Amino acid sequence: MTDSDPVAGGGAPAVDPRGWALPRTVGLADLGPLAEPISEHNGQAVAVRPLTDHPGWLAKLYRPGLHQEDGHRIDLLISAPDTLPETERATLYAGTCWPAARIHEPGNPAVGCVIPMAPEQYRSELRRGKFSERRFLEIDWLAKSDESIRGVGLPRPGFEGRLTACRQLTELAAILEGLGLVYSDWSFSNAFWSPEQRSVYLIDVDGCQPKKMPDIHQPNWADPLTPPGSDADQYTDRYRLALLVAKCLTGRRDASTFHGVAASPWPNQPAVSEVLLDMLLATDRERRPAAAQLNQALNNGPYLRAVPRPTRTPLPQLPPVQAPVLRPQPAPHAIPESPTVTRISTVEEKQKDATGSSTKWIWVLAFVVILVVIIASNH
Amino acid sequence: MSLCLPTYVVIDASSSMKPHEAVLNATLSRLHYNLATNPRVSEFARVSVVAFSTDVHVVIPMSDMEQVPSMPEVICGGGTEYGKAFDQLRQSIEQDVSSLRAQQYSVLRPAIFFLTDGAPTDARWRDSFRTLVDRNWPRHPHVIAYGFGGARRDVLKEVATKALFIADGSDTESALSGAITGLLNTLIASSQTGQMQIATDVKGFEYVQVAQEYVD
Repeated sequence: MTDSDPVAGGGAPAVDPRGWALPRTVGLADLGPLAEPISEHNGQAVAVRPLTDHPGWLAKLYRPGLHQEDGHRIDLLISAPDTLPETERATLYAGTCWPAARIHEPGNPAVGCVIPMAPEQYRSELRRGKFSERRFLEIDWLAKSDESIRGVGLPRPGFEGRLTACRQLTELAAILEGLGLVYSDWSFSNAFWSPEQRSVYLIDVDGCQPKKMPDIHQPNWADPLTPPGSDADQYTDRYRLALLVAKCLTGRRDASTFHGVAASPWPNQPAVSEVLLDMLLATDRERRPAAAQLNQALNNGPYLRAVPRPTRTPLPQLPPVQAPVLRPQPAPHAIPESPTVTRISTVEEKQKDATGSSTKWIWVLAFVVILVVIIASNH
Repeated sequence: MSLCLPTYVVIDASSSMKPHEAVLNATLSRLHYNLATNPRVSEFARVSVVAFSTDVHVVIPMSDMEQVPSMPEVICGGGTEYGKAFDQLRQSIEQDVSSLRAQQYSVLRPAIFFLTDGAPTDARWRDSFRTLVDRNWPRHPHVIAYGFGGARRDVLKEVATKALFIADGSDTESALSGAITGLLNTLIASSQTGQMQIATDVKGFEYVQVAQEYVD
């Protein structure tokens, strides 16, 4: 393949339903003027710059040193949605910044790629004290309590809002998995969330690779069964996706997330807990259920688990200082207005309760005996 | 276990900072806003704010900044006693690291961001400093120093164990703003990688490489 080889469409400009007008491979000079960067030195990109002549589109320019193979990989990604059914293609285009064109220049097949700008609905006003700022809202926020979310002036998602976002995340993950692509970068920083629309938008998808790719390390997202230095694959993705969904559903970020999932607080999605626990705790990484399975469970469907059941590692220990609250989110349609405190009795308290109860019975028994004696004596 | 970086923002609140008090407080409030509205950073970097002058005050004990409703106001005045600040920091680190570990965090080496506009007015500050950064103490912190106004480069070269930033002639108020932005960028970068990543490009400051950086 040469730099200017068409990848699909037999040389004709590909028709992109999102409105990208130029071919799928385009020279840097053909893009027209680039506006000031909206982001610099972020991950694999040296800059992300709006295309002045193509409103709504960005040039993501990579660090130097990418190879011919990267050009092939980007071409593969750009054409991958062509193989999808119409509905999945529409979902992928609406929910991700899927690349539309590879940018090349002489001697460099992969200068970057053209991606759509994230829709405006993913910007929100965050207020705290006398400061406020309108910015893209990362899905980070969904892994916080409703109270925290409301504390910065955002509408509280409630369980329905969390569920809707997680359904979309897993739908996108299932499409990627179906395409045989590894994302590796499932984490808080790579998805935007719209509290108003209850939707999510995945970014940095141009980094996807077929089958396996270098494991992108992010603190607190390490897959315990993917050894450091080894590649990430679909099983790594499944673990990270489950972790993200568990955090967003429960609104928690630490070990209590796992306990929240284990408490199965979702009566209308009875299989979700089991799927998530298998994805997170299966001792054999290849027994982790697929993203589509999780999506099905989130959509109130069953979990068709292979037998024998995968064995699981124990739940992680809870921090001793912060008391466990095993109520991640209220059940749908039962959202209390004020926080409820779950009080767990201690052993002594239970014994005390039991003692108090038996004392009552002794008094009742004594009263009955006296009554019987009085009745008997009157006869 | 979640990774956690105990972070100490140490502010010089001596009388030389009095004319810049309003900017100092506004800058601290902005730091609070940025941390409190960035869950990933506030989860990773637990922050304590310490102000020092003739005495030392823990303005905010080690906290998730999202849980802190607002930043208290700092009133400046007094001398510039580095020693008391270093003593307090050693004591705080000892307590805070234990507390974070008890909460099952995987605790990284603490980071001190030391912002000063003056030279120390106490004679024996070096003893306190040596105790603080003693490499035989397993919890010895990294020190990143930002000097502006009347701060002395030679002194701060002794204090900085990780990175040193010296104001390039910009006024104190711009320097304060630049230092806090640099600090914030360092925390954001560090939260992305899970290890200390110093943002060396700080507006209004010259980045000075530390001669003998402490490497863990």
